[in-house]
Amino acid sequence: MANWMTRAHVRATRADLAMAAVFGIVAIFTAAHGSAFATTTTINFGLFTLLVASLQIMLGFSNQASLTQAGIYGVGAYVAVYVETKTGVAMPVALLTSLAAGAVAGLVLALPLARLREHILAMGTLAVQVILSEAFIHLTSLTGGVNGEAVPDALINSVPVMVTICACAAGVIIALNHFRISRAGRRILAVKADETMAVSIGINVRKLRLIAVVVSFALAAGAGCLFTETAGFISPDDFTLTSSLAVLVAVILGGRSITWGTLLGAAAYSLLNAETTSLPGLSDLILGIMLVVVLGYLPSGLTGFQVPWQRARLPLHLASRLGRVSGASGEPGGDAASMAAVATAPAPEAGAGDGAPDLPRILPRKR
Amino acid sequence: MSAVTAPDPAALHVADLRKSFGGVRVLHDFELTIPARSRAAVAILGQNGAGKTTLLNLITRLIPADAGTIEVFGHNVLAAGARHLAGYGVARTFQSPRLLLDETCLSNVVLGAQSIKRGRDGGNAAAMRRAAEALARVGLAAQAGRVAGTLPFGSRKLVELARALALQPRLLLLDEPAAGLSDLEESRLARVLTGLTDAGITLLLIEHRMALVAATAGRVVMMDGGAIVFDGDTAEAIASPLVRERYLGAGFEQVKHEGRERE
Repeated sequence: MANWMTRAHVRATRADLAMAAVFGIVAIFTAAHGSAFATTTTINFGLFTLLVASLQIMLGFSNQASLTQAGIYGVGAYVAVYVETKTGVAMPVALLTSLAAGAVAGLVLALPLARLREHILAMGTLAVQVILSEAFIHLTSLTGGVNGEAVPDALINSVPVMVTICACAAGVIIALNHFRISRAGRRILAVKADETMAVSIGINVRKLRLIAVVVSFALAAGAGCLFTETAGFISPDDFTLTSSLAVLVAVILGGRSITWGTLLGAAAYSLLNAETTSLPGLSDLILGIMLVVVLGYLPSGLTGFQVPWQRARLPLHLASRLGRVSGASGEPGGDAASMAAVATAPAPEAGAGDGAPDLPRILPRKR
Repeated sequence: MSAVTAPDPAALHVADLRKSFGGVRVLHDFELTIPARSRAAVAILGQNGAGKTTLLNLITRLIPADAGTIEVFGHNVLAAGARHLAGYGVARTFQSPRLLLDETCLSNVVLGAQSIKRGRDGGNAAAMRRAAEALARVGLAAQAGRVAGTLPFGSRKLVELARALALQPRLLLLDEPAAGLSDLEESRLARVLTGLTDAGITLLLIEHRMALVAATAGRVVMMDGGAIVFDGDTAEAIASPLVRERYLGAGFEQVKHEGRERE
């Protein structure tokens, strides 16, 4: 029974390796290709993956929809530029400052947003995004206003920076993937599934929701700092509500899998953006159509559909119809000991229809 | 009787409790005290809408009270947040079980077991052990690896009971534990519940199934219109004309004893 945890981690590690391989292949291909366009596309993909991952922490783990990720990304970027130009510190110090700024923003914003849930919370974060967008434009002494801010010593289209960003994105996804099956991760997922239940077993719902916001915003701000390293120039146009919406759409598009959902959602948006640079606005239109299609026909996202070898994990109503509801069938490679126990359980204790599939009841009734 | 030992605080002490939903008074000046270490369960009877589940939700702080006092083991519940209840030794179940249906029974129960911090005993291995024990206690040890969503309704209720037990409560609040259970499951549940009271856990259960009440409860409290209209032994309750008239129906028992004489 003790290896129940480790088995989950082994499964997660397999996903980690596959995901890291994807990033590795993309990075190697980009470097081999050598064009500025390819490097920029991959950098944008990596940065966008970080943003999608940051929203996964809020939406995927604690069911808090946020439309302010791009705004916080901007906070991180402006803080990094400000610190670097005013004090001339090295990039790692700027990164730490950005992370801290994001965390503080999370703490400050979580206080008024703590009572909001679901759609209302999304509206609240939308308001925050609008405020931040306005602030970026009008706080000219800090942000340079609409003219933006030049970034000193930026490494535009640099392959090492591209590799670093990809490594960061892969690392964050790996961390989330293992957090999901950790003790704290399972508790925060319980909050997401059923807040009333979570409270009734003594889980500190408020604290977990707050931590999710703080970590999410810190990550988004950190990504903002990385962005400045590659941009050379930042302006309010980089941190708009549209970008925040794109992050949300990517999370919904990707679906429930932390690893592949994040990756697919980010990849879909980045490729779309890269392919439609000559027609601004087209990518948003296509993204909108994709969102409608996904919400209508694949409500659990691109990674939510079932492939044949996963049939053991079908939703219950389908599984019972297929007669697959039997001992430990839900977990592929389920605990052999418990399966044996089911098989050998004394019949009177097991009770009527307790361990056996409910086949007779679900077969079509004659007449 | 030495002067040093203070009397044990009651497992549950409710006084002057008031709760209204809009203009509907659900509870008014409600009083109920359950001494610690009650050897038998306390059952709350009452028709739908009598305020039974509201009482449980108030005790567990899922909804705020309008006025009054609620204390468990001397802790003022109304001053604390809902999540502190587990730390005071209170656990509850819900009328329809609230489980993570994609997860195994064991991981559902582990979630409860991980909530208690007992010094060095807070590790994952210890939580797993407590969870396995709790599942065994409700007779579901063999189902530990099964996904909760694939279990029949009755077993899900038992998994939820196991999760509550994994919190190692001293006061356990059960909201209609037998609703939706088969007769066989109900008699199993009765055995589990008497085992719990024998182990020193104070049980407060809301229940409509008189067979389970008769088998497990030593005290019956009947609510009507947000107030207590009867409070006494189980045997007294079944014999009481008031309980019969308001709850069991005038024909209860008589049907059994007198056959068709009435008709």
